[in-house]
Amino acid sequence: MNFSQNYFQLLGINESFDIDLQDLASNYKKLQIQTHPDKNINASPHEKRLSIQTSAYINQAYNVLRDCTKRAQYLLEIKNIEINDEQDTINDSEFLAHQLELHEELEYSMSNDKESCEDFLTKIKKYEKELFEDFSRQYLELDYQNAKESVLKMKFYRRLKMQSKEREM
Amino acid sequence: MALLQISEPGGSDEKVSHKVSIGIDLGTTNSLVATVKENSAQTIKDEDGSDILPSVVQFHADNSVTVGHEALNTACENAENTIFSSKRFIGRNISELEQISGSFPYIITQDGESVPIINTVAGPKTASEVSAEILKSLYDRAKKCFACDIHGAIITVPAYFDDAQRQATKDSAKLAGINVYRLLNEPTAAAIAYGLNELEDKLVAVFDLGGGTFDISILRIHEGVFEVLATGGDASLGGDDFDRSIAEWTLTKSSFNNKLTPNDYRTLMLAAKGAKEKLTMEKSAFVDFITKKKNNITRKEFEKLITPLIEKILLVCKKTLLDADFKPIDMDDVVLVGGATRIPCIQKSVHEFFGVKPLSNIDPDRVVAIGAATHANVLAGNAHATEMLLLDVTPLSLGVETMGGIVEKIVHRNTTIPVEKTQQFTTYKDGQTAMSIHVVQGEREMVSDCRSLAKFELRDIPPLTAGAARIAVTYQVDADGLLNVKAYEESKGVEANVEVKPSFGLTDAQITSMIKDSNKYADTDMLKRSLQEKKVEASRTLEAIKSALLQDGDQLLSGKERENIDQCIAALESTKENDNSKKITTAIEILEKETEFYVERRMNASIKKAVEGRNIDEFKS
Repeated sequence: MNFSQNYFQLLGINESFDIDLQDLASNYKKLQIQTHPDKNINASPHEKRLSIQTSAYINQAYNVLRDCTKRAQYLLEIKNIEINDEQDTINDSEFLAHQLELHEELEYSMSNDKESCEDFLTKIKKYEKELFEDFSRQYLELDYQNAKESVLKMKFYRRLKMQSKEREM
Repeated sequence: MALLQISEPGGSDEKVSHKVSIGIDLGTTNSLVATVKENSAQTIKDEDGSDILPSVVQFHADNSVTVGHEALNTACENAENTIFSSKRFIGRNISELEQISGSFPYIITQDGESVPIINTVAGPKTASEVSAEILKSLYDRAKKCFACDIHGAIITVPAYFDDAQRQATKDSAKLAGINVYRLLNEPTAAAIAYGLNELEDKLVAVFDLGGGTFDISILRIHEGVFEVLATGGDASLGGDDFDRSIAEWTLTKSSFNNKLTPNDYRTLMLAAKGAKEKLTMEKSAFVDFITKKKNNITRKEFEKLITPLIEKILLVCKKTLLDADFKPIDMDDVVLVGGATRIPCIQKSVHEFFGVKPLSNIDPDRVVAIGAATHANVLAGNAHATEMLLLDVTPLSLGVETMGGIVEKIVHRNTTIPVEKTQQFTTYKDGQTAMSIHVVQGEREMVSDCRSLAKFELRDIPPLTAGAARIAVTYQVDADGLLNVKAYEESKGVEANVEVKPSFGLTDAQITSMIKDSNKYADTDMLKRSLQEKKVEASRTLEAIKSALLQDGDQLLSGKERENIDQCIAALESTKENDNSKKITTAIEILEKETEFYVERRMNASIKKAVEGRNIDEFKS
């Protein structure tokens, strides 16, 4: 099995941050229709194994590409820029201070009504969107250092979103 | 992908190529079997015209077994040999069994880490063996109906079933001699029953309220592709709880202070159940229980009683929707499954919660079997018209135990399957040469709160300083939701020994010996059966490779490669005629080995074609 293709090649999508999610989903489904184990119920054990692996690999590729943050990180990985969650830090003190504020706001909105909770999520999504635009520009301009910082920042918002979801439950 | 089955259009061929397939809803209380006949999925009835088979198995001293209505009717006289609800025990260990249902009239024992055993007059039985009897009964019914062999079956399982329970269900099918295409989650089956012809993109919630469990699944259906986005539920909340509230109400209302005998309890629960069912159609019902006062419950009172339960159910719905980033109003359709969804106020609550009138025109007790049969028909290759595909998710997270008894999740809940994920680990002591790996399933942080699935040891790790060894642990979940774990040491490129010991569950050897032990097959029968199975396997292998060669053998193979494959085919064809099962096995293995590279080439080619926007069908003709 040719697992050396990167996820973009595998899913037949141009290697870029701004991709058409509908094309992605449609290619993903076409690929799964070809490779999914359900299409190989009468196959030999070897084929079945191969089918599971290939189908799993396509799932993995799809999960990375359809998520903006994961896609951004993966684009950098292709350029040999690794992100290490434990070692890489953000130097932008203004950003960090803002994060602290947002955390306090989250605590506050949680203890309040549902509406303020939803407002909070909307706000987070707005900040995220700005970051995605930043990344898209930085990536095109080959400014990988700042692009990397943008990905690290995206991860802050991802965590905030997760926390607000968890508490809503 | 590789070795696609070629469909042969045209009337006369269709009869030959049509493969009879069935869908089995293996339920806790009742089981059903369905099939697709003349393009419509329908349940198969027994000789008495009943399609429901009570999931009750009775063992007798002469090793005979009765299943279904007959076993149910004589249950009281033979309580310790009549097994109810084997689905509740399947894939579970004894301490879990004690937690889920308190006590049983039969004796269950467990020897160390092995499978719990129910002691019957016909000897010790595992839950898988009990369920196998139910499957056999349904399978025989289907065989009688068609008067021919069944090519394969889909068996449904609850979405929340974990790895051990799924594995044990597959074991049951193996014991019953059924070729299982795949396991299918019950709510997904229900969605399939409703949604085969959907063309527009739709979001569907499947609301499955059974006797003892509640499941909610969120699906996206688009052009025949069923994508399960999230699934959630409560394994201890169902229609039985409604009966219990009526029973409690009756006792309070009639100030019944006597101690309930087990018999009283049974009568009371039956009376409560009867009243609940009556309230579906009527405004009030009489609870038929021996008390001085009249116990007339109105529908209003009943609705008040179950309001907290409904709230609990809707909270689960909310959580599951949130998991998939949806709101209730995002759902285009809601499908109702399970007898308890007949209760008017449940339908009303669901309607209010999702803002759409739920679908219930397919009988909620039969819809799962019907969906399973529909999908089985597709997998058998009979339904050419639709390129239908089902993309399911893991219901529970899978992790590994790390230092301090903390779970590190490797595959997260609601990940699309199949999935393969690898995580790196390292040694914590200098010169460490072995490592124990504990596989767990569940959402909690601590190992003690999760389900232990397997423990195995990785040995022969090269002795290095602490932290230098690179151990890759790979979790692979197949389309059935079954887990396979591998581990190897990377730093020196040495693949170390891995021994997977299921915490409890049947080993392959145990299954083989159970099949052998089953009285139905004498030794010679066993040999005959295995030879027959080998021949079928050989034919299947040959059929697959030949149709593949026909499609693209010329494009993908060089003359020499083709020649070699042709030789292997000829070898298998001649060996197949002999009655030597070992030789057939070897010939199959050789052919498979020699075609491995070709299978991979085909897979790559089909992937390329798929994203280039061309359809593989173009290459068939």
